[in-house]
Amino acid sequence: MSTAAAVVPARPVRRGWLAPAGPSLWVGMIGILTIAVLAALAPLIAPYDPTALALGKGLTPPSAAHWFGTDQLGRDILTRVLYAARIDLQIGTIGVLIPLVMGAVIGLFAGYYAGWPDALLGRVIDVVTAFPFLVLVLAIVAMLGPGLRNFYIAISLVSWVAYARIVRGEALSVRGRGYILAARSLGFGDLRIMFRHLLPNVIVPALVFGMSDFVLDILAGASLGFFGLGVQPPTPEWGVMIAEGRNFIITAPWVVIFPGVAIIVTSFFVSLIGDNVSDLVRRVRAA
Amino acid sequence: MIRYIAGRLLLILPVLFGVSIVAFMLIRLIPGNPAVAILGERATPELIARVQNQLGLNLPMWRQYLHFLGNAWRGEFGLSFFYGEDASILTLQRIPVTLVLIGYAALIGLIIAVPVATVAAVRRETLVDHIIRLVFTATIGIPSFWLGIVLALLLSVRVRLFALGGAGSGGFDTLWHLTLPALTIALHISPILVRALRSSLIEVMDSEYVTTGLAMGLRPATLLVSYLLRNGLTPFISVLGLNIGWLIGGTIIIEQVFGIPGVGSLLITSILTRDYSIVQFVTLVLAFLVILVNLLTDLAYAALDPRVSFQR
Repeated sequence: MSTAAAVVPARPVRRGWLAPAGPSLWVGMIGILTIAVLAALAPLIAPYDPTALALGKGLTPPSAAHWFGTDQLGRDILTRVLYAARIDLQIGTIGVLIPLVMGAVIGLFAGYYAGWPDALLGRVIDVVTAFPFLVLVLAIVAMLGPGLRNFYIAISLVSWVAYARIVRGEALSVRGRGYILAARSLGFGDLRIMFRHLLPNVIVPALVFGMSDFVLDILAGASLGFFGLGVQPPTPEWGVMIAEGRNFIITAPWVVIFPGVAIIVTSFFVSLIGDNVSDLVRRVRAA
Repeated sequence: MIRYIAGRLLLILPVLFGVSIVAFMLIRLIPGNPAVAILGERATPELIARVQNQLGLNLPMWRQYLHFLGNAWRGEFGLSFFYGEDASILTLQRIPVTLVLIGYAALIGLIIAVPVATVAAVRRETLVDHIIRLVFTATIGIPSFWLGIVLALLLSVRVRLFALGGAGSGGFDTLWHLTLPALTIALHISPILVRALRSSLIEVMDSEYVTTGLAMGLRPATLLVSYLLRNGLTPFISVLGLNIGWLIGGTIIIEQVFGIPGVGSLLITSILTRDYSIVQFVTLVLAFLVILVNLLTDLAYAALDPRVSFQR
């Protein structure tokens, strides 16, 4: 096992499938990489055109020609699931990156200076977390209007708070450490200390949270798509596809099943990585 | 204890103030003239002027906010232009169904999570634990609307186990109609509950008094019930409170999927019909609900665990 585990003999070392940096981490990484490659290569490997209509061939069940069947407009579902992966992975990535950067910068300032900036941030965090995440995102999209761009704006306005809270807490506990005081006594500027010395030591928990946030964002994006508030048809997106197939669920369940499975599988791989990395971080910190 | 409650209530005031500012700002996010957006492009200039006046759009920002607070104090949150009634009346009528659904879902969630998490914690790091953790890692990514549709197909259409759609006609009929939606929401939140309860139980198991109990030769059943569950469930109450937002988010989606006439389906419908004053009020009400539930969990926690009220 890892050296970190050897230093803490008090807790039993976790073995087997879910061990830190064990098989589950690799399954997750290879899985999500495969999905990303399939999404990137969609125009090359997808058997059909994602938006081409074939009205005579609507709602055909899975077959050799259409592995996942076709939807009510005769579009190939496998093709659309592949193309949708590009949108949904983008939703997860942008939905994490913008709030992560915003939250990290704001949390860093509040945690480094402490005092009133920190008190102010604390109040803002209290207020934003009082709203249920999905409700506030929905309300902002309702005001701005439907669409992917407005969804990103809404996610950014809501999610940064979670990252700011994590980074701020970390920064508050680290700001009195020797190496920060040393950097300050060497006359380094505040910005340099914050971004060169503080940031690398406080960012890891935020990155770990980003993994589970990725899953939350995909779910939120798909929910908005499902209600017609996110990605607009005919662009394929998993939530949109589920909404479109909903009326045919009894006669043609495959239209709804496959995009749903795509969401579950993608989330599963990301969650495996996230859980594993957070275990790893906890173990290293305990040592 | 009384000092604790008073302090806790005092802490809520700034949050309520902030929440009202966010709700107020929502309408101002509408691009262009909110009055035009609310009324639609074909509205007469007189009508637009009236709504502008009602919203106080001609005033400076801080006066607009005071205007909003004043209206709110009188219970006026703006007319719904779709239903022709005040947003607050429409919303408050629909709250009971939503509350019943949330409570029902939380109950089913507990019934699922407590035994599963107990088994996982007691059989820690065995095959059973690994399977439980893998299953609940996989279920965390199930979109609730998809799950609702699939469960409805399996349990209401294929096997006619549950009624489909709506909230029934009161009493047992309502419960029967709400069972499948509540089950869907419960499955949606159960991964989080299982995870939190498992780790809080493990924390208790690793503590010294459990080791002492084992050394004293207590029977495993006694140990489980009076040591583990009692001490492991207390933090679990706050976990349920902390995740009330997740629970409400799931409820909103599921209400719309199953056509239940609650606050959630009102919110989604109002977004689609651009009924801004309702969106604003529902958002405000749901935030109040979160604050209230968090307060109640803190108080329950303090009542159950005497250590809490003596802290600070």
